[in-house]
Amino acid sequence: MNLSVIKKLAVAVSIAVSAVAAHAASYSFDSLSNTQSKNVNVSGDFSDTFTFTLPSTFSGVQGSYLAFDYGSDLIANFSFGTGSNTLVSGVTLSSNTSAAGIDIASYSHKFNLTGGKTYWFTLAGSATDANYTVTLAPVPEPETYALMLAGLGLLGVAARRRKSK
Amino acid sequence: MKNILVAAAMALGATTGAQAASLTFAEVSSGNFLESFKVTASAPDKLVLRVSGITSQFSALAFGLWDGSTLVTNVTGTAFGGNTFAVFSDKTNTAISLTPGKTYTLKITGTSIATGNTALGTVVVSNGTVSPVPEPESYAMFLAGLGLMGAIARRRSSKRAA
Repeated sequence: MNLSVIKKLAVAVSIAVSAVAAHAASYSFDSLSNTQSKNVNVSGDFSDTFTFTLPSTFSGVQGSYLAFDYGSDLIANFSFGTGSNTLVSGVTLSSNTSAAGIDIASYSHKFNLTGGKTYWFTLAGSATDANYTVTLAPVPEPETYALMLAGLGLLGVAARRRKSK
Repeated sequence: MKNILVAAAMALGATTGAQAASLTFAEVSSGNFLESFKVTASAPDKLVLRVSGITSQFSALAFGLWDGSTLVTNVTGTAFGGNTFAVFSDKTNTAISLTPGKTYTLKITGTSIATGNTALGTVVVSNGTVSPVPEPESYAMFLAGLGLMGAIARRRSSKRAA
């Protein structure tokens, strides 16, 4: 057996291993200038990755997952990063069984980020018959609020001046 | 302030039998709101309905499921793990049995607290469908706006003539 055969074999094995994950999808939120959300149906094992770019006028993001399993064995792990850097890893979502007999996992966190950069996050786990919602809300920089208030004030002054004239 | 935009998206299970229909509603300003949708069950004792949003954008969420003018059930939302949600299951709630194919009205009430951002809420229906109800208020508002523009234009032109 020569080296190239071994290499080919190794590639074949790695493809076979990656095919084990039943649901491995990638989703893009593009440029996150306003709140965006996405609904995904999963059953069995899943590992879904989402990417987004934070516009320069924002300094963070409120990231949230809400997963409902109509079966009873929901497991979901969350990791978050940029490029090859993992910033947060392996956060297991809080979970409980509601009165309606549905497994619920919920997680929300405010991340301080750098505007203009691209980030990714992954939700991985297993479920019987689940639907999860991902919501991302960009957090404006404090200066943006100040600018907005200043603009509003200016408008008020202009309106007042016009009236007195 | 009522909703401005309703982005409907049918989320279909990619590889498996799991199917849930979902719909997003947006609140562009803070305060109390009411959103109406149409809901149908596709099979007996199987429908699961949930309404949710992140707690940083919704301080309260609740819904009523109506059969015409009769209230079928009222569900109050709870905050858990950073999300606020209300859920109803026709599977586990034995006191209620929805008729498959029949159209029910889903009335969502809540308080939006989004600052500098649009608050996005989600409706997810498993084993059923959800669709938006056209709002008569939006047409009325549009007509009122048009009328106002006309009145202003008329006043202006008559002033110029004088």
